[in-house]
Amino acid sequence: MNGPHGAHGSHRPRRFPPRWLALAPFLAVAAAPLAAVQGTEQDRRCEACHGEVEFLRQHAANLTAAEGLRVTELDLRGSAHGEEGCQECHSGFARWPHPSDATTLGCVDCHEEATAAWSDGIHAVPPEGDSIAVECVACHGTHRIAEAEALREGPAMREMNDRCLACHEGSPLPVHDPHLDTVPCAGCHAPHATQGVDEPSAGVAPLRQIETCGACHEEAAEAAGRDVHGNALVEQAPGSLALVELGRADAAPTCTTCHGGHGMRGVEDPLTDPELVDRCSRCHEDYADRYYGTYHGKATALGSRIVATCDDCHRAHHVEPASDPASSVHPAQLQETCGECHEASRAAFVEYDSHPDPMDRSRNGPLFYAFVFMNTLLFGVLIVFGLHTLLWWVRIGLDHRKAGTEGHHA
Amino acid sequence: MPDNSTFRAPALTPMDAAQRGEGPFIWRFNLLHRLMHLLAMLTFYVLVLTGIPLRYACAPFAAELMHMWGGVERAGLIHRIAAGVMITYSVLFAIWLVLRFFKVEKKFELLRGYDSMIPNLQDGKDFLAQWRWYVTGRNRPRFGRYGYLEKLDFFGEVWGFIIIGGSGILLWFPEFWGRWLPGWWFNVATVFHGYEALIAAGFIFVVHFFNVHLRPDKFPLDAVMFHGRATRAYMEEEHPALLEEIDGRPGVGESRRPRLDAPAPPPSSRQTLIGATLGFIALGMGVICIGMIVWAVAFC
Repeated sequence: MNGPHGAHGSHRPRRFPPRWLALAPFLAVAAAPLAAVQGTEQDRRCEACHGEVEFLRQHAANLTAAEGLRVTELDLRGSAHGEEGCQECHSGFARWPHPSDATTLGCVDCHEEATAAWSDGIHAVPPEGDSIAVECVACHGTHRIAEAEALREGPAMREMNDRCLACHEGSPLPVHDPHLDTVPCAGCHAPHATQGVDEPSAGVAPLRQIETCGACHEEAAEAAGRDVHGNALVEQAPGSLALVELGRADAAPTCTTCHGGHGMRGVEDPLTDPELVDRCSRCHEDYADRYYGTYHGKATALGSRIVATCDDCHRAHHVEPASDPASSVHPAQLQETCGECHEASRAAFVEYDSHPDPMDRSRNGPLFYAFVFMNTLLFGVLIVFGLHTLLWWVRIGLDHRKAGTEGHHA
Repeated sequence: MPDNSTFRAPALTPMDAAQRGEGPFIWRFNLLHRLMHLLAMLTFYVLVLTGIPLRYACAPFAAELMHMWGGVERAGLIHRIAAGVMITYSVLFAIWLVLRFFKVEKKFELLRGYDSMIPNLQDGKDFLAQWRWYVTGRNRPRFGRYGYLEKLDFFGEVWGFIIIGGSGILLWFPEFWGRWLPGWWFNVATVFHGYEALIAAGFIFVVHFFNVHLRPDKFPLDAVMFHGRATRAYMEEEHPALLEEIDGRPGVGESRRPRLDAPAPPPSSRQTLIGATLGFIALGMGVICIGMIVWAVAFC
């Protein structure tokens, strides 16, 4: 560190402190990231051996083991531990040969909270047919550990999701799912305290969905938690598991009951509407069947996206029974609700039955009589003239036989 | 070596029932009849093929058929265009009928005469006689220019036009009619529209097609409505009373409708080909429609 003057052998007397030292703070600041990137002298010494797989191969049982030992500063650079040296975790390993009593720090030694959460979760229990639990490194890797912030989006998130999928092979999100590549698995399934989807404490458990989904979808979750579906959910809080048993008359729906879980569709997806009607129909079957008897229902089933579906009239997250004056389908509100599509200038316009049952005379008398009349006409015409046709056929056959085998042409 | 001189080709039976048998040809339908029938056919098929997938939206073929039309909205537009064409020619025809009624001197003759399309007591008698003929094989009714079957075809269409057209226009502009009519009218109109359409299609495909084309004695096709003429033998079989009427007068030219009942040249091979093509396409589509309806009813 002679500096340029020393190198030229200048005769000028040296100053102390030298003038360039004034630059030291700036140089230090400029060099700091460089140091972080390049690691310390000690780290470079570690890499001298651990960076060379050919060298490691001589000391490891096989190539796979050797590759497992290979760590370069590139692995650490930019990782969550990029600021730490090798020694932070592998403190006893500085000397070569490595002392036999040298130990490596566990993740728990620094990340107590996360480890505690993990130990309550499903990953702390070895998966069926396996003896080892799903530990930190299974998801986070060993050296290239992404920052917690980076895991929320982008390539690090996708890499983490791929690690989840390495075990949960059957669960990738389909391409149409709006959460694909935008939300980490852990976003819904909790990063460390991950629970089985059937556990009441899981983030995706029926009673916790409002909270979990609401973390991002605040407005929808807040509204849905208070409408008729949300209230039904709260009323049934004890024994929440039964809520997901669809088909139960008293089962209250949660976010995923209507939206689906993996494979849900975005609002703009062309298949959202028919799927929504199908989901509503799992509980409101008779209403859905009768809706499918109307133009709204038929056109929706055939791919029209402009006609009314369930949520257009009943509101997505503000569903209330028609008896509630605040409901969009309360008789006093109908003219406005229908009016969103049909300029309903007369109150009687809303006497249109969106879920008609032509067999129910008390519900809609004229419809019932029209239905009976048209069915009578249909079957009357088809029976009388079907017979007319059939007997004509028979008569021609009889005449034909009478006329002999020659056949009779007029 | 076969002796070709003694070989006789068997007399070929024409495929077209209207060209079978003895005798010169007689005009049966004029250009207006044929044009109206062609228009009715075309618009009817467009309406049926755009309507069936909506009525039977739950059927497995519905989505594919709708896709073929370019989606529900496009099919709806095509349905309305065809309806507009049908309404136009029907109203024009009705106006023409009214004008003719006021122009003609013998108004009673036009309404109740032998040539009239208006149903009368004889049609009732013929209808009963037809059933008696089925059972006994005797006294088959001898139809004139228009038997009860032709009248049924015509008035069935008039009835269908009023019911389907009326309910269709109601459903076409719900906001407009909603100014006067309560909303449940649209529920009722939907039932009328869908069921009457089913009756119309059922009648055309099961009754009209059989009576006109698929009866064993006319199978596979009667193209009289396409080229407009038929042999005397055909008329003797199908409309004997009309033939008597024509023959009973001194010369064919003195029929009550001399221009219509005039002797006709045999249809050219091109006219025969066009008639057969139109007829078979329509028949084939009818069979497909019936198949779709049965499939849908069984599936839904």
